[in-house]
Amino acid sequence: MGITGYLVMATIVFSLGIYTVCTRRNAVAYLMGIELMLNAANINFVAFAHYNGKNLDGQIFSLFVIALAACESVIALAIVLGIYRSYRSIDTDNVATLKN
Amino acid sequence: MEKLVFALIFVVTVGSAVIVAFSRNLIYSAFALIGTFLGVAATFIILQADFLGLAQVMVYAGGILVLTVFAVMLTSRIDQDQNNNPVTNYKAVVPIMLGFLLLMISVIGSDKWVMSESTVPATISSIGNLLLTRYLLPFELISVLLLMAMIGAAIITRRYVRQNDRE
Repeated sequence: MGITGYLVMATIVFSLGIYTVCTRRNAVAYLMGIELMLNAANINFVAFAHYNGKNLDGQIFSLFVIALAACESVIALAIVLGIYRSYRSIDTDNVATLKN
Repeated sequence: MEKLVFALIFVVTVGSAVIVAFSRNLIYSAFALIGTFLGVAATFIILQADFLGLAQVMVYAGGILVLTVFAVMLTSRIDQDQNNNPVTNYKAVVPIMLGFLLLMISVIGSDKWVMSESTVPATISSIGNLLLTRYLLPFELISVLLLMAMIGAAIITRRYVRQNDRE
């Protein structure tokens, strides 16, 4: 089996993330799709690092991706809560004004 | 044995990712995300990246997921309507998604991957050494970024509280 199974799994999770990001209107559901895509990328990094066998660069990169995902999630959810306070909705179709 | 374990992890990860993508109720999506995160953590562990598996469980399943569930419960009226996770333009997205999936799977299946078994044991100490020698600058940058994210989140939420007080 080797690396192929992991790559196929990461591809499926990534496509589901694309679907979630493109179809949802709820801003929190967008974030869930982004988390799915980041996780798929991490699976690829770790699988290649394991089957490369010489160094751990892929795992280090994956660690940085996890930290970046935490930052992104915190900031995005703070913005979502702010939008909800002023619009009473986080439906992205309603939040279309740039000013006032 | 390894194939059996991988099949189990595959089913759990992809199945809960499918629930995240297609569920009509946002709270079901949020809770199905646990399965995906734990499945990815198990994948890391059977790929002998035990430190990353632990970090995944702590950061994603312990931190990001709690934040997401909090945001779902604070923002959407989950008790009022069942269909609180509406879907748009899926007719345009499904061909794109399936096309990407088929393209990637054909690329993955067409190549002969040159694999060598891992010769780097004891990942925690090697990762620590790498972080403090070769990747010292990105490590410092990511800590500054985490601090900035923390302060930024506090400032973003605080401004709106003040506006509400003035009204």
